[in-house]
Order: sequence, then structure tokens, then C-alpha cells
Amino acid sequence: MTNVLEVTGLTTTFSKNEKAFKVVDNLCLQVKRGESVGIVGESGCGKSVASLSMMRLLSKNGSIAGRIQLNGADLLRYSEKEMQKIRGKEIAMIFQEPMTSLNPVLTIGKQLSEGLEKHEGMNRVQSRQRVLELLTQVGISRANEIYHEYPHRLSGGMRQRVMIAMAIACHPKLLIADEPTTALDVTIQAQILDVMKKIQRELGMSLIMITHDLGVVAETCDRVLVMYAGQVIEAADVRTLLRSPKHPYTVGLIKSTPHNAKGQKRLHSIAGSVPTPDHYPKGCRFAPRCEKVMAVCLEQNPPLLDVDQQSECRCWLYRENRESTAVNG
Amino acid sequence: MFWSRQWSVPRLELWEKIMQQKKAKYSFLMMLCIVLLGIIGPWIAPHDPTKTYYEAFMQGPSKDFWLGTDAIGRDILSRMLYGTRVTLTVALLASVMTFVAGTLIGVTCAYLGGIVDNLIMRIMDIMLALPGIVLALAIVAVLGPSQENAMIAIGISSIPAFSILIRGAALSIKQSGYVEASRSIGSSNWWIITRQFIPNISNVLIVYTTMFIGSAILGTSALGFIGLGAQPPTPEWGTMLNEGKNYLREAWWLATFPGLAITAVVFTVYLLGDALRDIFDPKS
Amino acid sequence: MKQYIVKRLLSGIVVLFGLSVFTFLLIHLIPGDPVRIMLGQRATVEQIESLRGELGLNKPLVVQYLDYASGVLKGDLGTSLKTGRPVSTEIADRFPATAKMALASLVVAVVIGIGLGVLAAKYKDTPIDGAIMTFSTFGMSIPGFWLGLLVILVFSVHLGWFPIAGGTGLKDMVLPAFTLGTLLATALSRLTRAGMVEVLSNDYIRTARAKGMNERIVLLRHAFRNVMIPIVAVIGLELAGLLGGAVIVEQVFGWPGVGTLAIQAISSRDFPMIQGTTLFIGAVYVLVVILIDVLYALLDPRIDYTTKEGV
Repeated sequence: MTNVLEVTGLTTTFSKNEKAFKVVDNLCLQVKRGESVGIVGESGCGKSVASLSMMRLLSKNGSIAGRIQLNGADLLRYSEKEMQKIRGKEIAMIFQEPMTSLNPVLTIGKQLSEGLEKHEGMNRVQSRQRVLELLTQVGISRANEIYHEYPHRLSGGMRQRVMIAMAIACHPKLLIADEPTTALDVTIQAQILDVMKKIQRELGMSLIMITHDLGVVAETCDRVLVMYAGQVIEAADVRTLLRSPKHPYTVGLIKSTPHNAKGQKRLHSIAGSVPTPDHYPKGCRFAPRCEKVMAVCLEQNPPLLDVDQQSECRCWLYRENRESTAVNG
Repeated sequence: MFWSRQWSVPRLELWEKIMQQKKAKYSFLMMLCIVLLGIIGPWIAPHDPTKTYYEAFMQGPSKDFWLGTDAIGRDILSRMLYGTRVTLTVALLASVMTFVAGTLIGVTCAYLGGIVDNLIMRIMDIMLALPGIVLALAIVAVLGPSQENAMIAIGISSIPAFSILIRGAALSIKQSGYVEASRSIGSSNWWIITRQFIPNISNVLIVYTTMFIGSAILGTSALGFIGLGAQPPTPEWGTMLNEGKNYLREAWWLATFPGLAITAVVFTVYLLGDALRDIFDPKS
Repeated sequence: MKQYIVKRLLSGIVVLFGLSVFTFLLIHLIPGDPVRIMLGQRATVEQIESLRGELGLNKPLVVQYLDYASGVLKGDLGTSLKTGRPVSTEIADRFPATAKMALASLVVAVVIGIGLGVLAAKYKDTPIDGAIMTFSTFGMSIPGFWLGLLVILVFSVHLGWFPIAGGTGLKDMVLPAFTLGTLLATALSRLTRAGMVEVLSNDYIRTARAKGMNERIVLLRHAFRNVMIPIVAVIGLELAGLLGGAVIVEQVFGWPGVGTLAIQAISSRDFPMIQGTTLFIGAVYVLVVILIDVLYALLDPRIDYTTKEGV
């Protein structure tokens, strides 16, 4: 199968007060047709910025280097105008906060149909028909009423369904979901994930699921990247990653999820917090928090190393595997 | 600390902050120059502001009369220099009046709450139902047109808006917990108002008062212009414009320079107010 | 919704009542004998006594107020000492001119102010933004009457494009409306900018961009619609500036409106007229503000007045 998305060496830099901060560092990522890839990490690890970079929706002080190829065409070479034809049509995005991601003064119908009218050239009657279908597709009954409602009348779960409907309206090849369930109640979370999985199957879409929740990854993804301090530190298929995590950070992350803590009295926690881009340590960025830290870790940041055939891992523990697959970030 | 985050710059640092920020520094220095002009104006004025030069009626700017002469042959520049003092004094006194009454009313209302607050705020609402200048006009109508009365009218007419702003700022202090804490250790009302409220809203006070000085200058000169403020031959800028407005065709300088002076002074004051706001409230 | 309007109207009535007490008291606050001040030093004792009786100043204060208030409710604002005509008739004669100019100025203010505000927000923190904001501070510092004089000087005296003063035709209106409109535009542009900057940082703007909407649509459909609601409220407050500014600007252009009437009345100590114009301007302001509040409520879908009717 061919790659829908191929990201190579994506580096996103923000400049503030004439200083530059690398928030995403040399990210490489391939997504095949119909595949779901998860990007996991704590808040501040750069996963959201990575996704916004792929949409080229960063604020003015952010700059992107590297290559983002969608079906072979590099998005970074596109003009803003050309990007507008990609956004919502080829790549769509769902955001974390359903409460604030919908425009409070426009009706649901209006917000859903404007993309259709722009990308598909539909007239009002056609788009209305399509919007009603979409609303039904994401599991909203009373689509006819909701069409005329304003967002404040809808619950969080309903709004996120609307967001999904909005994202899939033009059959995008790739859907990026940035923490789509984080702001929702647990019971609603499962429903939303189900809807997303169902729609992904129906449309044969590729999906990038950005989350801090390994449970969500386990439920929705085929492959997963773990990010830490702007870099990918481990990449593997979901089963491998959850069964035999390689990187000490991943190990800690898995241990600290409530699912895996049944026998324990207390949840595992990783001491310390993610360093900010202006305070990256000299060597491995995880070294200050790592239980298995070695002398070399403090000196040199490891490259992504191939560990057996299934995982890549950025850790000196696996340095006997010589073949590095990516350049040292 | 969380409650004082919004407006927190210790007094001693203020001077340094002003000098660090370009806008604050220059507007402050400009303001100093203006005040200095107001003080030494009478000494550096080339002519007597009330002296009539019979040989020089309505002459344009020249070597002898840099900014020209008016309809009865008086030197515009000298009148403007004397006028600086008049304008600044009137605006300052009006602002002091607004400041004292407004702070007192605002803080008292915020502190006491309840019926007193409700009643006073209602009265303020009623006064606000008249646009500021109309309220000032009504007061001048009662007191009669003069420079002092214009000052009083402008001062009083700004009280409602000022006290409502201060009340808002003081309310946010009241809700912040440490007033409660202070009361729980037995502090008196007066102590709490003077030691807790006023210092904590002093930054807001400084910014608002600066802004009100600007509008007080505009207000008093407006009253002067319509003939209900300072009376001729007082060299007040608005009054001078009033005298000049009938000679637009013959003598453009009469209606130009005093207006320019008002604009420059108010602009400086507003810039300074803006800069102070930036210093105290970096968020906006 | 109905409940809200009724509540708003009631609070308006309270303010109007307070205003009537204020204007009623104006005459009694005059230091010295009001009648003597109104008639001047040369008035005879008979003239003074007759006016005193006419104004009802010999009755108890409360009775005087009740007389005054019941007159006001019937549309009787007293009689001008200067012209001998009813104050209400004089005001009715002048009001159309003021309303015409106020509306024209408002249009100018909205076009310039909102335009500049949106532009400044779009180019936030660039020289364009800086220039607009400096211009706006500058505009706030210019006395309205002086700006009026300047435009007369330039456009009437030197260029001869417009009549200097006096008429009330369309051509006569251009300069006053421009003057007053520009003054109001300065404050409006700042508020628009602040509102736009805040709205543009919202998540739903990112959503709109993620949908592939172009900047024009993002700015005008998604952002501006949200800013419009607070702006309507601001325009309500601007009306105070509009009415106040109109009083002064009318004077510059010799515009025969209520403002000119009020100032003439003050100069000639025509107290019934002063009371009448003051009350009138206040009442217009209060009523328009209520109207705007109601409009505001209708505009914002988030303000929900029908909570109990839904299922």
C-alpha cells in the first residue's frame, strides 16, 4: 500500500524575543491509506504543534522545515491559497475542545455547509442535504433540528460529533484528531471513538490520532509514535509497543496508566516534568528523569535505533543495534 | 501573588519602568516639558499677553510676532504661553476634584455594598444618562460661566464615570480574600480602606487619573470655546479659539495654533496614560 | 425575552425619573435668586414677582416638582423666556436637524472606526497596526471644535468645496458629519481592534481555517460576527459621545440643532429652555441605550431568554 502522508525531517521552530525554540525536532512519519497512526506524549511534547504544522496552521512566529508530502506533493511548497484548497478537503482536523471549537454565532448548519460549498461547489440545497446525511452518519438524531441550532445548545459530546461531521464532510484522505476525547466525559469518550472508527472504516480514511492516553491508542491505532520533548523516542506497532515497550519513558508511561496498575497500591509516576524547548539537556532529553540513566546519556542524545524488526527507539540501552534508521536529531 | 497579578508594580520600580519603556519615557519627558512651559511661560513670553499693538492687528506670523497677532493686536505666542498655565491648572484642579470624590465614592460603595452602594450607583447612573459635556453645561448653567465654574463643572461631570471605574477595581480587591483576612484580625473600616483598598488600586488610579486629565483639558477648552468657560481676556486656549473662529477667512493662525497646543498636550497625556497602562497591565 | 424588555424599560423609567428630578432642581440650585438672575439686574419688582408666580416658585418644593413632572408627562416643558414659545415646540423644530447629523456621523464613525479596527487587528503588531493606533490616540486628543474649524478652514475657506456654515442641506452636512464621525471613529477603532484580536485567538477561528476558509471569510464571517455583538453595545455608549459631541460641533458649524439651542439658552439664562433641552437629550440617550440593549439581546444567540419554554 502507498503512503498517503510522508513526513520527513519535520522541524518546527518558534521565535520569541529573537530566540528560537525547536518545538518539533526532526519528526519522520508515514501514514498508509486507511491506516491509523497514534502520536502519544505528555502535554508540551510537541505533538499538537506537529499536527498543526502538517496543516500549516501555526501562528506567524512559527516556521516549518523538512518535507510534508501528501500523495507525493510537498505541502510546504504550496502557497497559502493552495493550502486552503488542501485544508478541509484533503486533510481535515478535529480539535480537543468541542466547547470552543465551534463558532458561537453561526448555526451548526452554516458551519457544516460552508466547507462543502467551498470545496465541492455545492449550492445551498445540495449542501443542506449532505449536511443532514453527515449529521445522521455521526449518530445525531433530530438532524433537521440540529441544523438550525447554535452550538451553545449542544452538549460536549454532540459538539464533538458535529466536529467529526465537519471534518469528514469532503471525504478527506487524512484526518488528524488532536485529543478528540480529552475534554469529554468517560462514557462519551467511548462513543466518540466508536463513531470515529466506524467512519474511518467506511471512508477508508487515514487517521493520525494525537493523544496522551494510551487507552485511546490501544483502541484506535495500528501504529504509534511516542514523542518526548519534541522528538520521536519510540515507534512501533501498537501491540509491540504496549506489550514490550523499549524506551524507559514508554515503560513509565504504560506503568502510569490506571489500566495497568490493578495490583499496585499507588499509580506509578515519572518524576519531574517535560523540559521546555529552552531548557533541553545536553544529552538525552529524558536523561534527567530516567531510572536507567548512564554516563553516555548525559553527554550525547541518542539517534533513533532499530530494535529487532518491529521497534525504533531513541535510547542508548539499545546501542548494540548499530543500524540507525534516522539521523541524530 | 494571584490577586495582585493584574496591576502589580511596586512604587519604587515605577520610575525605572518608565525609563525603560520608550513610549513611557518620551511621553513622560514631553509632559515634563509642557509642565515646565506652564511654569516659566510668563517669563519667556516675548510680549505682554493683554497688550494691544495698534500697529499690528491680525498680522500673520512674523519676526516680531512668531505666531501672529489677534483681532485686537495681541501677540498669540505670548497668550498661548500664559494659557499653558491656565489650561494645566484648570485641568489639574478639575482632575483632583474628580479623583478625590470619585475614589471616595467608588471605594466606599465597593467596601460597604448593599443599600448604600445601590443608591449611590443609581444616582451615578442618572448622572451618566447625560453625556459628560451636557452635564457640564447644565452645571455651568446653574453656576454661571467663568473659568472656576468651568473647572467645577468638568470635575463634577467626570465623577460618575470615574467612581464606577474605581468601584469595579475595588470590588475585585474586595473579593480577593486578604481584605477578609484583615477584617478577621480586627482591622477597622478606615484602616482597611486606606491601607488595603487604596494602595492596591493605586495603579488603576494613576492610569485613570492620567486619562481624565486629558479629557479634562478637552472639556474645559470646549467650554471656553463655546464661551461658557474662561472669559476674555483670559488667555485660555479654548477661549482664544472662540475669538478666532470668526476670522477663519482673514486670519487662519488665530484658529490654528491654540488648537494645535491643546491637541499636543492631550496627545501627550493620553500617550503617557497608555504607556502607564502597559506598564501596570502587561497583558493588554 | 418579553420579561427582559420589561425589566429594561422599568430601569429606564427609574433613570428618567431621576433625570427629571435633576433638571427640576437645576433652577433651585442657582446661587442667589433664580428669578433675578434670569431677568437680569434691570428687572422691576413686578416683573420678578410675576415670573416667580408663573414659574410657581412660591409653592412648596414637592408641589412644584409634581407640577413640573405632570407637565413633562403631558409634553409641556414650559415656555421659553427668550422667545415666549413653548420649549417643546422649539425642541421639536430643532430635533430633526440634530438627528440627521447624528445619524450621518454614526455612519461615518462606523465605517471608518470598524474598518480601521479590523485592519489593525489583521495586521496586529506590524507598522500598519502601529500607525492606526497612533492615529486613533491622536484623534482622541483633537478637540472636536478645533477639528471642525480646521476642516472649515481647509475645505470651505481654501478649497471652497463646501459652504462654511448655516444651511442644513446634504452638502452642509458633509463637514459636520465628517468631523463628528471621525472623532467617534477613533474610540470605535480601538474597541474593534481589541475585540477582533481577542476573537481571532479563539479556537473556532482555527477550526474555520482548518476547514480551508480563506482569510477574508475567517475575518468577516467568523471573527467579525462575534465582534459585532459587543460593538453594538459600544455604539450604544458612543451615543453619549455622539450627542455630547453634537452639542459642540453644531456650535462650530452653526448647525441649527438642539445643541445650539441648549447653548444659546445657557448664554441667555433661559432656564425653562435649559431644563427642557437637558431633559430631552438625557431622555433620548436613555431610550436609545435601552433600544440597543434589546437589539443586543436579539443579536446574540447565546443569551437565552426562553429557557423555560424548551423541552
